[in-house]
Amino acid sequence: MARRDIRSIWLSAYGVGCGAGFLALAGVLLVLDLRSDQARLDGWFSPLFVVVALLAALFSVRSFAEEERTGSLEILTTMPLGRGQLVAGKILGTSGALMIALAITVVCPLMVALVGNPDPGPILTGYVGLVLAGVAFASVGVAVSAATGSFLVAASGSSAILLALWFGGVLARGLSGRLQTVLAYLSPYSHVTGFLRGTLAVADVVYFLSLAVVGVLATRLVLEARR
Amino acid sequence: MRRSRRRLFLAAALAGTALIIGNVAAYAHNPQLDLSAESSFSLSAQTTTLLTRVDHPLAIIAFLTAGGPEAADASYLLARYQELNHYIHWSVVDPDANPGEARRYGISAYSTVVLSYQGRRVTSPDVQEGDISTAILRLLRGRTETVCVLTGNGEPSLSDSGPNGLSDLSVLLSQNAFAPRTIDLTLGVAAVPPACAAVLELGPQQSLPATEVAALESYLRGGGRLMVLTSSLSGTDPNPLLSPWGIGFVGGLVLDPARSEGVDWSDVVVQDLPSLNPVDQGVSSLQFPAPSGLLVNTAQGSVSVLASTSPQSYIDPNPQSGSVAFGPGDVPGPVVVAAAADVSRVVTSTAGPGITSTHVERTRLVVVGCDTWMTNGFLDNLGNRRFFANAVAWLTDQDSLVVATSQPPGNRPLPLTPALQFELLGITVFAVPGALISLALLRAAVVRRQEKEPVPGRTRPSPNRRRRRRRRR
Repeated sequence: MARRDIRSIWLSAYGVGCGAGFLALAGVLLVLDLRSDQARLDGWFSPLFVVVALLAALFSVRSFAEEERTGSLEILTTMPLGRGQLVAGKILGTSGALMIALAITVVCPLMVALVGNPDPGPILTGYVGLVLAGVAFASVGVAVSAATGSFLVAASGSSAILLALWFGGVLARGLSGRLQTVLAYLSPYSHVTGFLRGTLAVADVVYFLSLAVVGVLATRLVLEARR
Repeated sequence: MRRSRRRLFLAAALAGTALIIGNVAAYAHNPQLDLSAESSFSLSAQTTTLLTRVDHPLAIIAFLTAGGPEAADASYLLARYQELNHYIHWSVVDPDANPGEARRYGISAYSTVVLSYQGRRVTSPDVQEGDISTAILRLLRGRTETVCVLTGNGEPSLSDSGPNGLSDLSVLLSQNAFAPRTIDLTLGVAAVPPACAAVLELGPQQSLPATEVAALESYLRGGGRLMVLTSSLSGTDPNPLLSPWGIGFVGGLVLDPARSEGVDWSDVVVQDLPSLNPVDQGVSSLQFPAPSGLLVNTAQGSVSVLASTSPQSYIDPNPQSGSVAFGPGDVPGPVVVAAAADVSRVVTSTAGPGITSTHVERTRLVVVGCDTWMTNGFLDNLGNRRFFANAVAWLTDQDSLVVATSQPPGNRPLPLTPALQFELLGITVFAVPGALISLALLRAAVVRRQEKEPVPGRTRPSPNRRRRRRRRR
């Protein structure tokens, strides 16, 4: 199932277009980051998390919404697969497609390493963060995609949810007290700082894995409700 | 079906509860693995222990140019403080974008950090672990040390806001939990009040009366803390006060053709700060206008050189002669222009018949052969502000309170020339996505060609059938 989804994304004009756009944007962000005249990539990784969220939203619409639109969802549900396997396959497929896009962006740090001397630690943790965030974002996107048969609603819905989660953390900085603490913790914005500075914190890893599990559960519940 | 649905909802509820517990546990104890080259954001065990004592909201505001790497590093470091104690809230403010905010906090230098806790406020000169943790420790101590500033001998005034005044220095002391208090030992009974954590003699313009010198000598012998800033231009002789502690005042005018501000050889830029003494910590250079030389008795282990001029410098013992070139009678450099003495001794005292007690008395002394570097006109030049703050902190035992283990991220220069920018844009924005699109087009062409090629033993499908098949695909 996962392999089928990865192929269907990357062999479609839609997937290639989204992927090429993502890579071009990553290149622009790299040049903007290097304007500080320092061989450091934290300023590149930081906006890349937002771009990965948007790409996850765009890729995940093909998991259920597109299947439903083309009528192939019914065939899928009649296949000898458990619901859990179906959900896991869909999330793995979308995440796998995202990982391919992320793997191609390795060109950017490699180019910086060729002309400068960047610290490899923050680059490694930056990619660990992108992979974890990519899986979590894909999982949320798949859940939204399962809830609607409309391609457009699924794309805009998951983008809106992911961006709201992200900017909730930005807004939380202006608040105080327990509300600020809870809002900040719920936002991926607060959990990427560690990866950017070159550290792997347990709370950040647990957060993104939890978000992925929430996506799996939500997808499973949505499919059950729609049965 | 209903049973399986109920089982699913139960499993989801259980998983949700497990996730909440897992996240709360991870939030409370958040160990981390630092993979950065300099371990720049791993705070020392001392800082971690210190932060457990913060039990009320502590606000940290770092005044930095937004958008630069320094601001990013500051936000990473301050976020680490917040991760270790959730009472800590921080923000990075650009003083150029928010001049009103900078004015409200009296910020006159970039990288200044303001920390507020339970109505008290201190400033830290830099966004580094050592500075911030020391500032937090000062806040947690909860008391304000009185620093006594001597008057009565023509010293500049703490309330004078002109270029020769000390109003900025007064603000600096107040912002660091010190209460500046002026005392005049030329009047009445000459004795240093016991409330003084340190005494500052900031540029006397006339000789100190014998009674005042005696009072200061007595104060130093009893474990006093004194800072003396003087120069030969003032006409004072501080040697009776300094020589018992291994520091002598040579006088003259130090000229440095190699390191001076502009064409004025007497406006000396000091870059040799060889001491491990905390007074020199974080200071890379100083501007001392018209300094005089000091002599230190290095055989006395308690004396350390804080600052000295370049080897090309020299002392002109007779600056009124008019000639600035090195000549006969001039003393070749490098010249010591700042020194510190730290003398400890065990004192045994008799409290009553047969009752004796011992305690350690520690005298600390900072001497600078220049009396203008800390005035309003020069305090913000080079590392002068930090040097002064460090010296007062050292005199009052607030130095090296935290041994920082984190180092600021190293400088990794990569000048983005137009050629490099063009190359990067060409490869990452055009070549890589272009290659991806080309591969996709190539594959589509191959598939189409394969569809067109007749398979042996099979009749070629009609164009309508081919179209239908493509649409289905």
